[in-house]
Amino acid sequence: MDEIVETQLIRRSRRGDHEAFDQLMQAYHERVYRLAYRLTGSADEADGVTQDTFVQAYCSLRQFKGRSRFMTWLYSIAVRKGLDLRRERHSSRETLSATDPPADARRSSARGPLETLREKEFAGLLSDAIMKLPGDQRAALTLIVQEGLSYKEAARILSFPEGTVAWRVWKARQFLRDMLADYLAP
Amino acid sequence: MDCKTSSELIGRLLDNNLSDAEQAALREHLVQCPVCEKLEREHRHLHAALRSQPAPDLPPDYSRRLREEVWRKVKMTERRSVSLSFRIMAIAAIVMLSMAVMLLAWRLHDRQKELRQPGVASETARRGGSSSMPLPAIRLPKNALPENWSAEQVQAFVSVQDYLGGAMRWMAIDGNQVEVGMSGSGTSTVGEKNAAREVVVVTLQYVERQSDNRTTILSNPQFVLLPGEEASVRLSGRNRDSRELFRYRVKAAKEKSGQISARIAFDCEVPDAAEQRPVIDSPINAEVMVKEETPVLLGASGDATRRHELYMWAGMRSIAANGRPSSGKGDHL
Repeated sequence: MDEIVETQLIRRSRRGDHEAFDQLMQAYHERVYRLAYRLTGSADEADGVTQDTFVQAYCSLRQFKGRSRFMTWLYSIAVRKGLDLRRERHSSRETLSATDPPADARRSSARGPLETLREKEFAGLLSDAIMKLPGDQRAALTLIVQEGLSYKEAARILSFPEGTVAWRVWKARQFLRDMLADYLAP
Repeated sequence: MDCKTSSELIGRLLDNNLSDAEQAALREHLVQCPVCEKLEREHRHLHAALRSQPAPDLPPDYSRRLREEVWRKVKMTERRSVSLSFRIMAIAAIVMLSMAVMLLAWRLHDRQKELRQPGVASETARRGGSSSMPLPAIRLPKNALPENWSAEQVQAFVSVQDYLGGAMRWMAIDGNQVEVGMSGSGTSTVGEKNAAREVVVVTLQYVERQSDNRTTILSNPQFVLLPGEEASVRLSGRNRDSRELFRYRVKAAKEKSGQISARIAFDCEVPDAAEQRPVIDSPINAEVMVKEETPVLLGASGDATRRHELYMWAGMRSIAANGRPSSGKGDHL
């Protein structure tokens, strides 16, 4: 979204213009949902986190000073909501499983059936392993590797120094490599 | 570069977060170290898997549903916050009201306590500048004015008012001194001739009490006032030889409770201290609520050998429609 348009929409939203905020939601809801899904591993929870993120964003829009991008600010709300939710239900968590990967993971492959099966298995195990990561490492890994943000942006979202973010990503990688060593070996 | 550093830098290489120099050093190490090179390949595989992890599909019609849910929750949040503010305001109002009621009850209790001690002015009676001297019980001088004295004053008031055409507001009399207050515009409807009305009669007595209990009345004015009118006068002392001047400002009205509320300001001027009269150095300002004809002590000064006291009492008097003082019930004239 164009930065000037975005600023105008934010200003109008602050004055209670629902239509303006609808446009902001329209522009960013997909990315927020995707991040929430990766943090929680559940479609239902991703939906809840996305809703709560936009509700909080609207209610505290006056606190957004424009020092970061609006998207970065939304992400920071979503990460907090997502990690809080995970913390709340850590004992009865519902993770992505090998037998129930996201819809896109079930796309057919041009490879042989054995290899396809192995890939599906790997994808499922990878999802499981990600959900076993501590919340702050999972958030750092998701933002850097899957969302493609810079270390600087991730540090702002997570409210940690860049060095801490880099260390958490490295720890997460180490963990995943150890968990999936059999599948990663050439 | 050692293997430990190399393993730490591999991830940052994949994230494009290495400087050119770091990249070059790492690549050089990877070429030379098969363990680290294997590690790099594994991480590259993992990185690719993470990157290609499919994004979740949005549920159908998600955008519309999200909007509906968000606005519903926003409305609930706003309602909760309004309700919370209202609750806080209500609690604050209740607390303030309770405090006001407690304060009022305390003041009323205090006032009733005062009224149970006849003759003592309320705590609002203050003697400016002096320390809080305990006020003695009332012992009016034996030569205090006779009871029917005020009847003469009211009669005089009625006569003078009739003569002046109804513009008179108050009258102060002390011995042969008479002061009259008139309404400024002359359009006043107060004191209309032949109309039934009430006046307040306020008597003040400033006495000097000596150690041998001899009492001298220094000033003894009587005020006949229309309720709510303020009289302001300068009167000479009753002692013909004295050159003292007494200044009075008097305002009184009947309250719903039946009591009379009065505001009295008093001070005294002694032109020549060489006359050895006790100098009245501080004024008296008092706001009192008095019962009909119950004397109150407004203030005192001096010491055991020579003491000055200001007393006051007041009553309501009706003036009949014929312009004469009424002799009906409650009329003590």
